[in-house]
Amino acid sequence: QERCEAQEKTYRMRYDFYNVERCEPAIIDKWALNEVAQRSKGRINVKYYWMGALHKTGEHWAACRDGLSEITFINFGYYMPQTPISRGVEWSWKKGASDPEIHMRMMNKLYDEFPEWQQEYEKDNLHVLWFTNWSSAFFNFKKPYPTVDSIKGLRIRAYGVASDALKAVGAVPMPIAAPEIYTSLERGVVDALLMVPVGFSLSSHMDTVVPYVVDGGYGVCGPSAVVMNKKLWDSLPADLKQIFVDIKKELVDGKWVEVLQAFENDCVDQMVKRGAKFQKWDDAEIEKARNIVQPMEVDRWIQEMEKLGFKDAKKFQQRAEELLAQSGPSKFVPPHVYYQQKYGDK
Amino acid sequence: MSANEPKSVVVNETYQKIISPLRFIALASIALLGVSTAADVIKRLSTGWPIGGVMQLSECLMVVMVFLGIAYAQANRRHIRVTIALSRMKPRKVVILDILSCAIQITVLVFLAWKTLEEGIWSCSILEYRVGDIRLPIYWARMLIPIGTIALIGQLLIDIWIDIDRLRGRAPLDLPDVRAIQEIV
Amino acid sequence: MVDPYTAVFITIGWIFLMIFVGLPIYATLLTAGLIGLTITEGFGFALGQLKSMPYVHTAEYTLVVVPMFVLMGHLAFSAGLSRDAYQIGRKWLSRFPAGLGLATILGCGAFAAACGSSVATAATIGRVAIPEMNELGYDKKISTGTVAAGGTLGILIPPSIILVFYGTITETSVGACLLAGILPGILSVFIFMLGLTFLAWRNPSLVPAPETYTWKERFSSLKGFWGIGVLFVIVMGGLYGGIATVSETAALGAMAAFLMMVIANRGNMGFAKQKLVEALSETLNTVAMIFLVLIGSYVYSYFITLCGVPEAVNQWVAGLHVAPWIVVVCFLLFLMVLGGFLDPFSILVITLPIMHPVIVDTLGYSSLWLAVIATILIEIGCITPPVGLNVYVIAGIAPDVPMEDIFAGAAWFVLFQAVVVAILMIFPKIATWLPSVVV
Ligand code: NA
Ligand code: NA
Repeated sequence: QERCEAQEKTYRMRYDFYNVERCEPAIIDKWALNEVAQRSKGRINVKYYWMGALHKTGEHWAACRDGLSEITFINFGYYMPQTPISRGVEWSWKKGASDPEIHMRMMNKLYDEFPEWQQEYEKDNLHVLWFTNWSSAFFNFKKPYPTVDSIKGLRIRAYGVASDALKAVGAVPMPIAAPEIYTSLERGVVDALLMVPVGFSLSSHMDTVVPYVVDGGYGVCGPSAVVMNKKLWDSLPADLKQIFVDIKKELVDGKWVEVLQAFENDCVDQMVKRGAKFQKWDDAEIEKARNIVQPMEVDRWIQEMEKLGFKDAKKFQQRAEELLAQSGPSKFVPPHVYYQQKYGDK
Repeated sequence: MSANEPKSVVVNETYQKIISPLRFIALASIALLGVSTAADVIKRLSTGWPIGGVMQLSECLMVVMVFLGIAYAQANRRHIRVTIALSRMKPRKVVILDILSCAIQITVLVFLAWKTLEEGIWSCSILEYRVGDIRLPIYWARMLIPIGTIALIGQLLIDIWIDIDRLRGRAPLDLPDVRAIQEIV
Repeated sequence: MVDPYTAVFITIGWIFLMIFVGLPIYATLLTAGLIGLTITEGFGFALGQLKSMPYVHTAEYTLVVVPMFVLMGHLAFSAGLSRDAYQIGRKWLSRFPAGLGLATILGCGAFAAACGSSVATAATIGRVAIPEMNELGYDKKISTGTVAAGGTLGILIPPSIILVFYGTITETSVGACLLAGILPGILSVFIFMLGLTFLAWRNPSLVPAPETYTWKERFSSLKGFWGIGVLFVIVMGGLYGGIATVSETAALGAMAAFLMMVIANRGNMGFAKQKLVEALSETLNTVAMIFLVLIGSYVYSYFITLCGVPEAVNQWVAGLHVAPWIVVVCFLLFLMVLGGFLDPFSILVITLPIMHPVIVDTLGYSSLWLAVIATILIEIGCITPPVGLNVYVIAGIAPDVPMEDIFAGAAWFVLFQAVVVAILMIFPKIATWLPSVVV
């Protein structure tokens, strides 16, 4: 009888997102959760809150933990003290990690292999539905800066691990608060941005001040987890849980990149109309940056983790590398490639 | 202290002394905020490099000044309220409403202190820090919130006591902030 | 559980009741939000809101401007900048009819460039200007009304706490909001002066005969300009010249005002130290008050958001089929009515969560334009009865003038401000042009 009741119950779920509705991970999550709602035949009802309408950046972890929202988006970069192990997959210029689809697949597989990582979320009453990211992280410049040496001394807005990496290659990382980015660029307090996906450039009009969108081979932007309040997850009947599991599998198997690609191509088209240019650093330059930053960045993380008592930190990185190598090929067409194909050498 | 001062007023004076370290730290944090932020700009303009961690420190200093300052602001009766109706009422009625007002504030602040204490303890347990160009621990700032809130609750309790003495004729009936104009935004 | 709309009406009733009995605004909004959340989502849910929200909404880098601008205003006053600003206006403008009144408006406009508060601007200029105007034989309605109204320039011309809050609450660039206030601020100064001249022309008995000063006196008064000038250059340079963020600009301004205060005290360090502690203490009072109100307002607007009120109002407005400007005017009239009873700060935190999405996101008006218009309407609230903060503060400075007379004098300026609003409705570029110009 109890089971019967659970099956009749309608679950109202608030999805809490800190950024705009039209950006890479939001488009993907919205596809996924709409699909969940549809397949549940109305037993799951998702209400979306964009732009931090429900909770502000920095509050989402605690809010979902305490049941103030049911599903939320955790960009590790904003919850570093809570997510030390998760940060092990946040890399700068890491070999083989720059493709967003491959990176996403790797995270979703790696998570199942390390109970310590799972604990990171579960001890705070959070259940990971799937891992995702903000697609490729690009530089946004006012004019082309084609080499590592050319960005020396350049003031670049960045946060988290990107700050350390930029410092290592000689740039000046500036932690500018999000609402002030645009005017800081306009007025020259910062010269450039790093860790900006094309969807964000477009929606925030960044491309009108920094029109050169340059793939410096940095890697993916904002690896993140989409999580559900664990108490709620545990209370869901098995068939509803299965819907989430199925959706995750479909994302990993190709839906993720399909939704992402359609969105980013559309963004590139609109940005081209406003005068944006898409470029990529030569492989030699990317290699040069990599040699400065890696393996120092990974080693530092391993050291830190071992200090925190995560003994398998080294194994974690090794497995991550193996999974990166196994997770191809990717169907993802980077913006600059799409740009070249469609608009040629104009 | 004069002999005819009611006990509540005497206790209030003592309480001001007890919480004066909070006020002092809050004042210092305003000054530090100005100096560190200005120094950061000057260093960046002259050397091209910012001082690490000023932004994260600034955020913490905001928490320090606000929550260590709320009891002080109440002691000066500076938490803004609309006095249009009060200023037309009989003083006794005003004092009774003031007791009600303090009691409502205490009720809600007790919950605030309890919940922010819970969060502060959690923050301490993970040694929470804020990320930027350096890692700045912030758990200490989280703990200041319940501390400041409790200090404000203490002030409000004393204010109720003084109000009761006003009703008993042991203190002047006029409330300091009902007819006076204070600077606000 | 109560349905959301019933809950919203219950909380609105609670807010009015609590405001009436004199519960502080922070506690009014906080309790209203918690009651609303409790009856719609449950008590545990409501309490959950209190956990991390107070920290997150205080440890906010963009709000660093608030203590810094407040401190700058207090230090600028201690440095005697208000007196200097007034003297310049007096020496240069007093040969015109209502010259001293014009000087007062100009002095308010100049001091507004150092002070982010309306009440503080009125109080500081008023202490100098009212006795001098009365001595010359100005009608007391005019002398007090001019200062009360001139003070409102303090929150339009940057720095401005109100514009900072508007930017923070609506996630509009704070720097752009501050820049947007400059031209409308100058326009207001101009319209006020024009209006006062018109009054003097229609009714010469209101103002005494002009006084004259020599050119030498005029030019020598200009040496008093350097203090205001330096602060103006720092704030404008910071906002516009690209050397610093808004928060950094505010800190630089505060430090500069501190140095001026030390210099003005001619190296008397004991006195300077005492003035510094006073300024810091006043800043602490204001900052603690403001942030507690902000926290209360966040809890209440969280409840409002959860109930879907902004969406409902949006849909309702969209279904009205009236011209967008009529909707805007209705909102502005509502602001004016609130301005009769509430302080500028509370008006902003109560109305913006609903007004901003409708006017900006749905009707497509510029957020910067709304920032300026809302600020002016809030200014009007500062000089209209029954609650007019600027009038109250002037009544404190000029105890011999009945409150009704001050309100009557200020009423002329409400008319002038309506002219400014009309001009801005017709030429919105006056507000949006300056922030749009890229250096
Ligand atoms: Na001002
Ligand atoms: Na009013």
